[in-house]
Amino acid sequence: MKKVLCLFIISQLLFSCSVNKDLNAPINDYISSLNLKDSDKIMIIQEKINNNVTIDIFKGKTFYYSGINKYVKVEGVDKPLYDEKNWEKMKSKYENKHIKDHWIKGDYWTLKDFKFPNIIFIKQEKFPNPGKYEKFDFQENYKVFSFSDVIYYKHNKYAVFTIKSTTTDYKDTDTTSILILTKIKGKWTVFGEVGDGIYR
Amino acid sequence: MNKIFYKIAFASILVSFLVNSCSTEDLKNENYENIAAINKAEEYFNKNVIKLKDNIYFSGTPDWKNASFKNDTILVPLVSDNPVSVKDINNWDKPLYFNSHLLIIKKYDNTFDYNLKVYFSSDVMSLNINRYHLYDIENRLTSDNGKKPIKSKKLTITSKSNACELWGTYAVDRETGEERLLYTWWQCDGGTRTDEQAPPDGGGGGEGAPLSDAELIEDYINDTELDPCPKAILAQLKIASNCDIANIFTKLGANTVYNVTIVSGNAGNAPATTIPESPNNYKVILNNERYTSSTQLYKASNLLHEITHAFFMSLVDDYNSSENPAVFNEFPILFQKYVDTKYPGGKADAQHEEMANTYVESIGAALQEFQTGVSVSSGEKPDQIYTDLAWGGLSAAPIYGKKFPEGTAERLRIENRLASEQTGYTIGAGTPQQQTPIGKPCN
Repeated sequence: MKKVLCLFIISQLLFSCSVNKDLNAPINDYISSLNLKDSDKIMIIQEKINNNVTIDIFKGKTFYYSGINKYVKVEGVDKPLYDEKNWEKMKSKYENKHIKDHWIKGDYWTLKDFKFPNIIFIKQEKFPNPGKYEKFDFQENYKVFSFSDVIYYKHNKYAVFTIKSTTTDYKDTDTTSILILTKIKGKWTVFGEVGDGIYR
Repeated sequence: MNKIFYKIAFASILVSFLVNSCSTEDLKNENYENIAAINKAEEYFNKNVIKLKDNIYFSGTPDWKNASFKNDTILVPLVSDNPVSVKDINNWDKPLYFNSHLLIIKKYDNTFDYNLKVYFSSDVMSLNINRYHLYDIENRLTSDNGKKPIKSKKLTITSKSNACELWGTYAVDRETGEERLLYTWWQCDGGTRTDEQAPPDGGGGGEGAPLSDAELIEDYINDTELDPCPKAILAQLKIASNCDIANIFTKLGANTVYNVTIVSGNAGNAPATTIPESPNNYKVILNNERYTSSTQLYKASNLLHEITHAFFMSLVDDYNSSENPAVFNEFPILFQKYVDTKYPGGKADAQHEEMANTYVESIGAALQEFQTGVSVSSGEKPDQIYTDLAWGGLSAAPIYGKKFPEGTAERLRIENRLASEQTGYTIGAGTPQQQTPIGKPCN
């Protein structure tokens, strides 16, 4: 009986891991596309970026130009990929109505979310602030990432997530963009990147 | 109950009196400072030989008593008893009336930079502005209606070639319209001078409204909320002689189409950011919560980087307003991103790549001039330290990684230079790539 119980628990654990990895397949496929060596280590900021950031960047900004008497989308995802109806659907499904913070405290990435094994997790508040403290104790130069959860768009045809990509040398955790991916030959592949409209 | 009411009323009156007296005091102090600056500018102007006084459009007397301050620029009208006009004596029967103003910018070293702004108008009341010229302290034409002047092919006045025209300046009687010739000068073809020029004959112009103070100011870049140190740095950069950088400042600062506001504030972790707020409106935030030990040279490089973003944003707005792709003729990467939409990365990446391809040397030259006070001659390259700083501003962009692969000596040198000016300390001490800051501290 004990053996059966153990097998059940182990199978449940494995199943939950594979579900997590499937949900995050676009992020895992993106990391795979970086062609990292098995010996490489990457650093990931433990807190997830709020989905609201993804939703806002996706929408971007539209300005009215009187010279041509038209509204022009100046930031965000361009039409036809962007359309108001599908964006509203995305918003109602994925918006975080209660937490407005950029990073969500308590909602952490863990090793079971990723296929890549060599990950150092760091809390956002522990990550050094450039320009404020000038001495850092990182012994090596790692690539550093921060991700939001994956949002699926237009009946799962597209996957979108927010990313910050820097290194322990640069420590630029401000630059924020969304990656838009679609499946090509069974792999989620990036085909567009859209910034947050702040130029640094 | 009544006692409590009276106490509250008394306290309110006292607080409002104190608050108002403080703000009145601030205004008074500001006025005293402004008057002192105007007095110094007048004294310096009167006591020194300034080529600008010989300008053919320096007509009348500076009215220092009616000088005003706008955006850190002192504006002094030149007044004369009668309106003055210019015309081609032999061929042009339509005179152009002009009025001139001194625009004086206080420099960081407490000297003054004098410019002459000349408005040409087809009517005696100066209601219809056709064009303006801006001349620098050396009496060189630096802006023709907000654009860098094309070098006119002029010979010397004595050449008397067939292409010469005789121009005259007239005082005009306001009531009778009678003209009195004040002086004449020759305008000839051939040669390469870009000093005083006859007014061009067409284009542009106001819509019949009298000139406001704001319209008389050459520099519309709003820096009233910028801290004193970066404000002084910006003032110095605005008079950079590098053509590309001067063109950027001229486009953004010389007309009312674009509004660039530069403030000190919270720019997150970045040293500075630029945001397009609405069509033709750009806000630059220079971080004053971090990077407090950075040198002036580092902040100058931040300002040039951000002002170039604002310039690119103005091109994007030009394109969005006109749908004319020719806007990007000189900027192929921006063309790919905004017209072809074939550029693979984000908009910020495209702007950084264009900056890398087109402006690194110009930014380097402007930084060298800022640091040394000596301009880099046309055709010469700026020193490596300054181009390294210009590249340093692009170090988070993909183009930087392609150009300077990880682990190379060049990359380390650039990053050490950037870090040394950012922190104000020597970086990489004892290594071949040691870099010591050359910029002065801001505080």
